[in-house]
Amino acid sequence: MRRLLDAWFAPAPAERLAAVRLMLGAFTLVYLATQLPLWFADAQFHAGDFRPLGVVRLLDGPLPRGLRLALPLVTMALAVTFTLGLAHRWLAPVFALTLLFTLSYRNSWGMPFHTENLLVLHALVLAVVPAADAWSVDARGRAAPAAERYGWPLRALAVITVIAYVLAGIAKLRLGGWAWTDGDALREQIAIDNLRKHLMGAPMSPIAATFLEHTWLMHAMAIGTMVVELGAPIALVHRRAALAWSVAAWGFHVGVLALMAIVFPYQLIGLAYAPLVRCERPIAWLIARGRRARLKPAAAAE
Amino acid sequence: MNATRWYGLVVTLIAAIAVAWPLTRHPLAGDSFPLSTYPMFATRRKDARLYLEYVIATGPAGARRHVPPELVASPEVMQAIVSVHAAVARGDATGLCQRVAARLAPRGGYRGFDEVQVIAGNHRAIDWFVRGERGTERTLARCPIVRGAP
Repeated sequence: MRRLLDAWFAPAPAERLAAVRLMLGAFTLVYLATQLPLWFADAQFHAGDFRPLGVVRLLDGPLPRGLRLALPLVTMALAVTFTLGLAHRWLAPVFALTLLFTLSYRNSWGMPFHTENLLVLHALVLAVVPAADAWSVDARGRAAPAAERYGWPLRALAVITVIAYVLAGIAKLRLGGWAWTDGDALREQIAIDNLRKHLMGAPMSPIAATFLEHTWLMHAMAIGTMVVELGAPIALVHRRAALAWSVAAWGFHVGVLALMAIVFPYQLIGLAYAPLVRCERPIAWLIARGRRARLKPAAAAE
Repeated sequence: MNATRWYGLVVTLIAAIAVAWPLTRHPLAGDSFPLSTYPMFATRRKDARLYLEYVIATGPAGARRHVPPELVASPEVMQAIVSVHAAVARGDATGLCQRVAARLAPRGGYRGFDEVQVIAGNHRAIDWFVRGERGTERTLARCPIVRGAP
């Protein structure tokens, strides 16, 4: 037990947790900006279609138009403070709760999107941990030494990711049993999803029809999907296993994009798996490169 | 155990239990946000049968185009589907038809089309893609695309 606890609380650099904060905050900002036209599409928010989910169940009915439009804008403003690591202890929880409400509201119109769950869940955890002790306004350039308080939050984020994938695998087993791996259910889902898009005048996968002709491919993909989802806990065992699983899970989402034109942006960009890897390295490299670039002209002038 | 470890354990346990909590619910009926049962792609769809209401623009000589979701209800396909279905269910197919026709009227890309139809389709998705077989369609509402005087 003690060894398990020591492993769970193994120290990690402050920069690793800060990197997750930086990337999640920036992603949220860009994501909400790209979604703004959707928030302004009044036809989408017909009162009759309101099916409140999660925290939005607290509302009696849809928000007035002005308040609805304010939601993404306020969340974007808070995403800026979160990304900068400004007053993290106070503003980060406000950001996370606002993001929770905003995306819950967006998902409360008849169709929950499973593309945004991990983003919100990770933000909620990052809001209550010291994710702004490095690379932030709060830190003001101070370097925090590696400590256990930066390690366990990364593992908690990883556990959330892993559980989400395992739940997806269990849902398939509960609804379809092991027969789900024969590929028929997946084939039907891919066909229906693409036809739905075609009939609705939306872009569909250009390669789906070819894949649908080969049932053995669907069988292989169904087995692969189940291995990735139910095998997710292996990512918690070892760093290399985590990397291998992250690549496999990312590949799964690439497959979903290719065959169903469904975008899981948080996963495809890799942020869902960032807590599992040394995600601070690319940012540290960029910062070092920026510093070198600034120093060069100064050195040349001397 | 020090305070950091206690806090870490409490936060981790709360997060893990919350995310796993949907296991206590039915995968389809118990889905929510952000705590989800993740039921996507899990169910069998017999014969890959798809009943769907959708909107098309038609024109002379059999011209036909499926109207994209952003011109029907929402840029999100699935939410547009829900909106179309809800409009049909509450007997507002004609109203939906007229609203879409009004949106298409000023658009240059729809100059060759003169009518909007709300369709109820019944197709087998695998047959559609693999054998090129179309299912049946029923027109629920039709309305002209009325353009203003030049």
